[in-house]
Amino acid sequence: MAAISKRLGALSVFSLLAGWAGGARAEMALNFPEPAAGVAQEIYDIHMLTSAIATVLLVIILVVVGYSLYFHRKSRGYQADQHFHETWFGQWSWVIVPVLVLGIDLTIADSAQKTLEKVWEVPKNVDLMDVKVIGHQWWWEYEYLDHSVEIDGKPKAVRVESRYLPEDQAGEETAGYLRAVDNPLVLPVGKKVRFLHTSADVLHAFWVPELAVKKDAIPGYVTETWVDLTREGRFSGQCAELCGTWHSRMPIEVEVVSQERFKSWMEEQKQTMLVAAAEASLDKDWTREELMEKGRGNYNTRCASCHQINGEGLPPAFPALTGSAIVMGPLQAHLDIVLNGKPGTAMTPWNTLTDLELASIITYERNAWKNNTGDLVQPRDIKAAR
Amino acid sequence: MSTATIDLAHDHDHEHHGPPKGLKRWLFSTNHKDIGSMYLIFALTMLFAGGVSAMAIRLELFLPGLQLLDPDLYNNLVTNHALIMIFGAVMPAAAGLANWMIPLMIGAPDMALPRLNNLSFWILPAAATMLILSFIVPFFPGGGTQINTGWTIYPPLSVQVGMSMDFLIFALHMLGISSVLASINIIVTIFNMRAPDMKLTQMPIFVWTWLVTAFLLILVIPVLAGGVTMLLFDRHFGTSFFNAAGGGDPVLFQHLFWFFGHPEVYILILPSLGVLASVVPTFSRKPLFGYSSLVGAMIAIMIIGMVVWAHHQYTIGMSLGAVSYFMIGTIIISIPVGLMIFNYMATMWRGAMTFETPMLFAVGILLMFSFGGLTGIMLAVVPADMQYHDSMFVVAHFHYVLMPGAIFGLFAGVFYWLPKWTGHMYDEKLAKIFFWVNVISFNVTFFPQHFIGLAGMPRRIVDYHVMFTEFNVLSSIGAMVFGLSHLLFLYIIIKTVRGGKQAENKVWEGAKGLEWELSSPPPFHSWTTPPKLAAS
Amino acid sequence: MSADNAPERRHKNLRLAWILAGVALLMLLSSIPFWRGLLEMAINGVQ
Repeated sequence: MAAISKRLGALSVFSLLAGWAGGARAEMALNFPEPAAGVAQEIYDIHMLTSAIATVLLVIILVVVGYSLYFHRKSRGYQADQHFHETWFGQWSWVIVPVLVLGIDLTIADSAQKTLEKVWEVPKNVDLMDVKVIGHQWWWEYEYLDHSVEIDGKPKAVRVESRYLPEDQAGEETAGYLRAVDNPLVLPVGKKVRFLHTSADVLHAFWVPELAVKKDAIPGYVTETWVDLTREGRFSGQCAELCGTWHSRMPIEVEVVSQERFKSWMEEQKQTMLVAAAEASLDKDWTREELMEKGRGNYNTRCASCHQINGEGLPPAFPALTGSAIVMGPLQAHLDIVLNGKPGTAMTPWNTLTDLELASIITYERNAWKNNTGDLVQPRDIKAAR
Repeated sequence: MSTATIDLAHDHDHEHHGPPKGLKRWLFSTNHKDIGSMYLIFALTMLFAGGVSAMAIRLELFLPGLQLLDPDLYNNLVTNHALIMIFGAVMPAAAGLANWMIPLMIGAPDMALPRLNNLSFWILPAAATMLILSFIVPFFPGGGTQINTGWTIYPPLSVQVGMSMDFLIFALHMLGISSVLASINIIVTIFNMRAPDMKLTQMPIFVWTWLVTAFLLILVIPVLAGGVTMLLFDRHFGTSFFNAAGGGDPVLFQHLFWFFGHPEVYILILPSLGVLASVVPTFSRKPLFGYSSLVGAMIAIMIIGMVVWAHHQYTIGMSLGAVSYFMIGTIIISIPVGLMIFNYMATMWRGAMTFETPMLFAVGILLMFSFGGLTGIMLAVVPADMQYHDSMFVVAHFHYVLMPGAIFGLFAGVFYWLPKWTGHMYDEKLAKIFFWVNVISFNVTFFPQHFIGLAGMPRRIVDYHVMFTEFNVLSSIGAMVFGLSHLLFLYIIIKTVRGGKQAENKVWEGAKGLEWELSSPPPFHSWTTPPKLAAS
Repeated sequence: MSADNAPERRHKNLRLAWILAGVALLMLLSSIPFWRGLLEMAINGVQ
């Protein structure tokens, strides 16, 4: 089936043009990228089959209408056949045409159903690696549910926060403009992976063309997709469901690596998490310099996409923090909005961050730019406010 | 009111036989021709408003990077473009054709409920004002954020938006009320006001398409109204219909929206396909092929079209059984749609064709709408849709369906009946130039979008990766020419209204139907005595 | 106003118009519970 659909697909307009332009400019993509997963290959094949069928039908319509337009015109002296609808064809076309179309429909539906059954539901009784994909306005969070470290006696899944990198911060190594992220989703090749999609705020959709699967991230729902990764490489995609202002800046980067590299990468992640946890649980008074230094980093990755690096926001959607009544006012209100968010706006609760991270961010906000409150917030203040 | 006063009014009008003078003629009009003209002028205005927003969108997408528009302003324009084109341009234009032509075609003196007719039109400018306010309000201090949700206004995003969303919800309510009232009027007119010896099966296909469309409107618009009302309650009155945290369901809104949204596509294209049934036989000089199968096909479209809505939401995580059902149902729609297209092709076959502008648009529809239909079958296939969904491929697909399927049909109808309405022939040479510029630039705009969609560009993004640049440049250039070409359309219309060669009663050599038995332009009150149908 | 209909026809028109308005109202009211039930079915499959 795959072989036939490839042959047919080679005839289609899309791939003809792809071949023509592909010769001229290699970068200009005209079709799905080369699949990097078994399910993506299935989807690629059904796409080529249906586009081939569509192209053939379009050519038939063009030929029939073109013939009629050329020959059956008054200027050629053609006399209209007033009794065409009385011929046997005219009498029975209302049966013939639907039957023919039904035949084509069933051909398509049959192949489509077979492919659908292969790709739609997550296979049972096989070894799957679970990755939870959480959409946020406007970044992605990945949790490796099968890999965890023990912090405070509780297992915590290894998690990666993946954010858009502005052009000036994106290096040569990255996927480039609008596609560069700080931390890619790293996956081992040859493994079956199940993605569990959900969202922390509004609708998002996880889409990497090389992996083909696309699913909406819906708050309150967990939807699932799966892929069987077949080749190594870095694959880029982006959020595919309109999610507000920076919908265009929610890139996804998946790095598929060998099993060994994945293992060592995972060890690194665990170590980093343990170090960060140890640091966060230190019961000490942090100095202003330490908090401001940490706060700048945390603020710039987590808060700056809305409130901007210079703290001036993008009103009215994203209020300025410089001179803001909340930031300059009593600490309690500031803690409250950061921990609990503001319902009905893009400001989500940030209570998943550690006490140290929150303390540094709030200290930074209250002292950076022209905000000179002089307040110093320690992790224990956050703990008390939770 | 006593019978005597009615008779008095009756006699009074018979003395003058002309329209009342001044503003009152339009404000209080109960005349189907005047109201039809107002609908068409309103639609033309909105066509330009929607067109300007589309050109702003394409200008922003000309090159990667943020040049012209803030992301939220861009998203707002995307929203407005859709809503203005659907509710402001296509639906009122189709209603305008209905108002003008249905009474003329079925031999009725006017619409069945003339005062209701006046009301359904005059709600529209109010609704359009609301819609424009929703765009303007955020520019004022304290006006809240812009509508950045797209026309689908999915929660929870639409709950985040400021007060302009409330303006939009009320605009949708008013537009809905207007459409439902107009539909009721049209159905009553068709059932009760036909010339005494005209059976339902003798009505022109255009009247049939509007009968089906009006029923669709009555069935689906209230569901949209229900959905947006629930959204309004979620926003202001603490309910959680769509709020997962409160036990609600964000997906419910999508179901309600698309239960309206998918039949809406047929609401937009059916009247235009009905125009083809008048245009194609006229210029092929041959009877319409397959009258009964056309009627059967459109009823099938109406029924199947109402039960396949969830193919707009394949990615929400439905069960295998549910997506299989929606996939097969969607693919099956190609049978009645294909039959309609086939019947028009068969009408052309072995005809003696000439290619005046309405016929050029008709041929354009047959070829390009078919192409849009074929990509529609591709999109119906669930596994492939996992790639296509929310990509530019979808944008290209539905513009190929709606531009030829809806707007070219309206252009064909306007050029076909304009001599009848105004009594003047339009400038055929200019109209042909308009057709070619319009069609070529349309294809330059939207054909490349198929490829960037397949290559991985999502829709509704204000900025894109450099790999999509070439085709976006091409598409934007096409869009500028396409947008500006409509100024020529406006010029042709104005020129025709102001003067031109006197049109005969039967404007086109091969035309058939009651409307061609009246003078051009028809008298202010036509068919005051019902016509007798010819023996044929 | 010369398009004013004879009283008989006027009644007939109004009766049909009210029936159609009733259909529209019915769709509005049914939209909430009915579609919610259908949605459950679509998500969980037919039980």
